Amino acid sequence: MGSPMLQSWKVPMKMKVLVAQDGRASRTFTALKALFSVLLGMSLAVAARAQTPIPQLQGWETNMLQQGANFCNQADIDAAIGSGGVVTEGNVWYYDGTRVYDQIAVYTGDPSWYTCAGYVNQAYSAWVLAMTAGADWPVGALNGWRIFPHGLLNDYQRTGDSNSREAVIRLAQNSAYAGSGGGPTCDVSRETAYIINAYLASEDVGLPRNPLLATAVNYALGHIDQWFVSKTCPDMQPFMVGLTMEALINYYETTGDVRIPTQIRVAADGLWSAAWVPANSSFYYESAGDQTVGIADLNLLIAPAYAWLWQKTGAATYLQRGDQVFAGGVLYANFWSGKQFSQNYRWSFDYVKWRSANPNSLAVTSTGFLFSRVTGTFNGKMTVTNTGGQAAADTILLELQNLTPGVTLVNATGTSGGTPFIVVPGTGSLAPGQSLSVTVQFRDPSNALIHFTPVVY
Amino acid sequence: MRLLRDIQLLRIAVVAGLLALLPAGPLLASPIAYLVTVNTGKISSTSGFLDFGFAPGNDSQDAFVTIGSFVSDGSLSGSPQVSGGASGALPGAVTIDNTSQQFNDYFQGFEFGATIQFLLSFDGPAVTSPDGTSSGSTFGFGMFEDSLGTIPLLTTDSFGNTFTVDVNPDGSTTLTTFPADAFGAPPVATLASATPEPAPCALLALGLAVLFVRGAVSKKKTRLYSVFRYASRSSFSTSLSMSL
Repeated sequence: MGSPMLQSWKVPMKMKVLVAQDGRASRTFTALKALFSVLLGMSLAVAARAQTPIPQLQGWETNMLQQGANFCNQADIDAAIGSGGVVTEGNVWYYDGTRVYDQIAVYTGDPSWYTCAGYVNQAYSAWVLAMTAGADWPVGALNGWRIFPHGLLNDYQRTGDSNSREAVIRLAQNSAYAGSGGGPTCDVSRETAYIINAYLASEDVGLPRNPLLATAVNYALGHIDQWFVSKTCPDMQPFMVGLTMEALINYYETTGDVRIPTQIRVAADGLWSAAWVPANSSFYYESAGDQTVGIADLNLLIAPAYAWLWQKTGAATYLQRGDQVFAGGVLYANFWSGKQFSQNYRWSFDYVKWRSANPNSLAVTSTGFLFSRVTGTFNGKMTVTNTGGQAAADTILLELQNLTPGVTLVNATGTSGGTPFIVVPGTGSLAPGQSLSVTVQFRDPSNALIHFTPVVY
Repeated sequence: MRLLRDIQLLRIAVVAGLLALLPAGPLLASPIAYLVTVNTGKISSTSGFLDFGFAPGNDSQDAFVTIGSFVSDGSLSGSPQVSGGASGALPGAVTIDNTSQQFNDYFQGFEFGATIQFLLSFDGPAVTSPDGTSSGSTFGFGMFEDSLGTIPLLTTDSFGNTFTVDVNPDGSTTLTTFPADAFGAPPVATLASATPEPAPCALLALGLAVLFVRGAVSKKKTRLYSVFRYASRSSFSTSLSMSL
């Protein structure tokens, strides 16, 4: 494997694409193709945009194409990881380069990006299989912070490659934290988030649900508590929070666990109030470090959570915050290695997707909350009406924020950061114009007027 | 002809004047009233309690309910417990508003007879000028065996209501009655739409307007009668018809 030759291509829009070429891999990233990709990507994005324009979307697309080509280097990837072990994390394989290139292929409609995905997938799966060869127990060599199952899963689903499927299974069964579901303390939040992803991916390749999935999710929810509610975590790193939110959203999309949406809200709100540094359009790196300086090149590991919340709640706050996080991440992106490229594009496609679609539009009204001497509670009915033009998800949660002090929602499904929420019963999706109702029961010892801000997920 | 036109103009002027007295903004809807009849035959000659409550929802518009024209072959006993926005005493009018606190309630000892009847009238901005977006308010009526109100009578509602009336965000109302027992006996309460008594000012204005119009018409008729009488006497029928 010789060192790659870099060839410079002049392309329109003053974009410079550096393409590596070696003797074994024949890739043709011509200027024409780059132009095609740019135009196609932009047209797709324009078609998808139903809302106000996403700030810095064009920069995000340009970086995607330019840096995607730049780090699509089989020789470099093979030199960084393989059956012999990990040589460096400063490469596109880290943060799941397979997943990144798969998403570029889908976003642009250009299947040639799968070639790049294949380079990463081949090297990464070789490492996973080699580290776990002959083992039917978790092995420390398959480190908990290097668990990237999405790309393997994508590859298996797209190509049927048995090595990719086996690698997914090994991550879920034989990686360092596979036997514990992560851990309860916040210092292993990333390992916990990653093993959740691995458990979920193993379901998608046909395995039954891992019994440790519930444990791992409980750990992750505990980490959110340690970061933002009990505040017992000695060092909160915003990008780790992003990884946890990503895993929990993945888990929610699979299971519909009603605890998740409001916990994402707690994390996103907590992160914003604790760690956002407006001057740098980014979050600080860690609470135990300098809290006055932001690190923008980690923004895109976090931004999608805000778009997801906006999509669920329709709350403009999350739209505005998400746009700031995304724009800062694009403007101040740093691509000094493939790792940075993958960390920027690992999850941000979901930001563009959620940010481009119309959010839920759900109105909430209530009857009066009438006192019952029988139950000693104030009781009423809350009604959620879909006022938008699209069907809303079938599991609808109603969170009562800023509830009058001293008042408790007796029949709450749960609480998130002390804020109660309740599941609105009903099956199927809520069509435009349709309504669903739920009985609510409050205890209000002081007889103060019962006020709250309803938020629907 | 001119006399008829004058009367018409007078009527228009009066109506326009009355409209001008109305507050600016959208036309106000009327209060909503029900004649409530509660069949208490199954518990006749027993002692218990009547409970009237009215409560707001989350950020509801102001509203109040009046319980009036209370009649029964049963009898009131003891002193009522009056809480929150409730005022007045049965058998006179009792008013309950939803503005001050969550628990607005009138609780009254009662010797049950065969029937209770009262007029239930809902009024206030939530009814007459609903904004359509706020939450509603709810009225509830219940009957209980004990003074704590924990043993409901003649209802299957787990909260103890015989019936409830929701004032909806759009100013309409929703009635809910509950079966009298677990075996499906029909609800003991029936609610029939009734015409609420107009407010005193509105009554006064309406009365004055009627008197004014009638007076004016009467005056014109008198003039007309006089003219006819004069015309018939003078046989100036042609000039009369022209002057009209």
